[in-house]
Formats: sequence, C-alpha cells, structure tokens
Amino acid sequence: MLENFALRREVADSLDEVLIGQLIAVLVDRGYPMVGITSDPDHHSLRFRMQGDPVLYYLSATLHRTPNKLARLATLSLTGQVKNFMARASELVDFYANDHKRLVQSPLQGGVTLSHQLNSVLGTVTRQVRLDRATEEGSLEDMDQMVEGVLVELRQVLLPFKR
Amino acid sequence: MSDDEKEKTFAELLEHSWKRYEELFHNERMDDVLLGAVVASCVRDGYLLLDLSSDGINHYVRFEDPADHTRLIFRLRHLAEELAVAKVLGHLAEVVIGYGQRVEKLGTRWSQLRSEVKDAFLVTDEPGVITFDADLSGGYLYAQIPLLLDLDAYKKKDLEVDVQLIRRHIDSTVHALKQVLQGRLELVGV
Repeated sequence: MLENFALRREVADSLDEVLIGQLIAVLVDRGYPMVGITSDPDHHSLRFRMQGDPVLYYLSATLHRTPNKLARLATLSLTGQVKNFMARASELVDFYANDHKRLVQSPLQGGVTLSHQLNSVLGTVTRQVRLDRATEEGSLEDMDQMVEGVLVELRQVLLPFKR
Repeated sequence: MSDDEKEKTFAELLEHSWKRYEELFHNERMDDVLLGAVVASCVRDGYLLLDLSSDGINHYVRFEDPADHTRLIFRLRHLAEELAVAKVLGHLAEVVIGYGQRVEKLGTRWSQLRSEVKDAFLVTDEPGVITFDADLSGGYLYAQIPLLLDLDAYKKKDLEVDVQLIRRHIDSTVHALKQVLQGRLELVGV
C-alpha cells in the first residue's frame, strides 16, 4: 500500500498536514466527530458535526495551503453553522423576513462574517496560524486554545439566529 | 382538512424525513468519523500527521513520531456503506496498519525478506497476515497487517467515537508489528 503515499514528503514538507492533524485531534477530543474531508493542492477542508453543542450544528475548517515552503504563516478559516429545523411554513417565512434582513444589514459582527443559506446561518472567522511552530512542543495546546476562542466567538454571534 | 391539520401533517412529514436522513447520514459518514478518530488518537500519542489522502474508496494516512522518526501508515475502508447492509452486518471497516522504521542496508535486507514470499497465490489480506514493504527512497522498512474492525464497538453517543479504545487498539497493534519487524530484522541480519 506504500504506493498510495507521498513518501518523499518529510515533516518539513508536511507542516500544513501537521496542523490539520492537530485541529482534528482537538475537535474530536471535544466530542465533535469529523464527518467530511477533502484535500487538493490548494486547500484542506474538514467538517465536524457539533453534536451536543447548544448553538452550532457544523463547524467547517479550511486551511489554505501555501506554495511557499519558507512561509511562516497559513490561513485557517473556521465556519460555524446554525441549522434551524423549521417544520412550519410560517416559521420559514418569518425567518426570511427577520433574520435574513438582519444579516443583509450587518453581515460583519466583530471578527465574524455572516452569511445565510436556506435554513442555515453561517459565521466565519479567519486566523493566521504559525506553520513554523507546528512541530514544537505546546503547539497542540495552542491549537486547543485557538479553537476554544473561536467557538466562544461563533456561539456568541450566532446564538440570536438559533431557533 | 383544516389549515391547522395540514400544517401539522406537513410538519410530521418533515420530521420523519429528517430522522431518516440522519440515519443515512450516519451510515455514509462512518468512514470519515473513523478517520478522524484514528488521526486524533495518533496525534494525542505524539505523532505528527504527514500525509492524508483518499481515492474515493480508501483513506490513507501516514504519521511520524518526532522522537524516534518511526512511522505509522493506515488504510481505512468502510465495508458497509449501504444502510441495509450495515443494519444486518453492523458497520465493518477494513483497516491496514503499518509500522515502519529506518533500516540500514535496506536494499539487501528487503531483498532477503522479499525472496521468502514465492507463492503467487499467497493471501495477504487475511487478518493476522503480517507482510513487509519497503520505502527504498526514504530508507524505511514496514511491517503491516490487515484487520477487520467492528465500528459499532467504538461508537459512543450518536457519531461520537471512543478514541481511548481506538488508541489502545492501535497501540497494541503497533507493539506487535514492532516486535515482528525487529525480530525479523535480527534473523535476516545483513
């Protein structure tokens, strides 16, 4: 099965994968299973089911890979999704009339960019993460703290859209 | 039917659809859930993720222990992607786990190990059959073993997985592979 791996990649060539591994570990350990993953030469995209979370239904993460091997930073976008299961047509109409209007009026709250898709409201934050620290001791704890901060921020901003 | 009754009936239809959709979703996503749990388990044990890819059927992951540069490789495949099959057989996954370490004079040792396998009909995907493979460019020799895992044994609530149990199972398998690889290397010599 070795032919299926990029065997020439050493740790120094895989710093974005190292970060992705840490992100997966942090979220899975919090009880949020990974339910989707895609990778291409430009991005790694992951999706987690936020089961048990009072506000968020999914959290999606995209790490934008840098072609520059000497780059010290990578951009990580984290998108929280509130999903509203509205079974009555009147609720749907009300959602469009009120929440959608609020989103259009103020699509940016703090550092969170808001958008709207069908019965969901999405909030995205972007962070710069240190590639050059990915293999150092304490980097997993740094990732854990960063994720905690992002989740608090997303829950706060998205709570008013949860029905 | 009154408008209220119609609304209630429509709401019931939607709720039933969501419930069935959730069942299908759980079944479809079991392989991603397993992959996430394996990655979490290895990263918590100190490994660095080096490689992550998929060919649509199998997921492949590779790790390195920064302390001694030994490596782990995994191939994960969910065998019951159809809900009806999963309901009868349970969620089964075929997992190949490999343990690799840097070996001096790899070319010579690999030739000796390979020359032992002469039977063209040797079944190598049976659980318990440990095979060897070499990454000649990197200087690594791997021992690998296929296992059939019952994913329901790792499931906690909904899609949550018992990562500690997976950690124990990976650790035990790696321990066995390491013993076999090092034992064979001593026998092969140079």
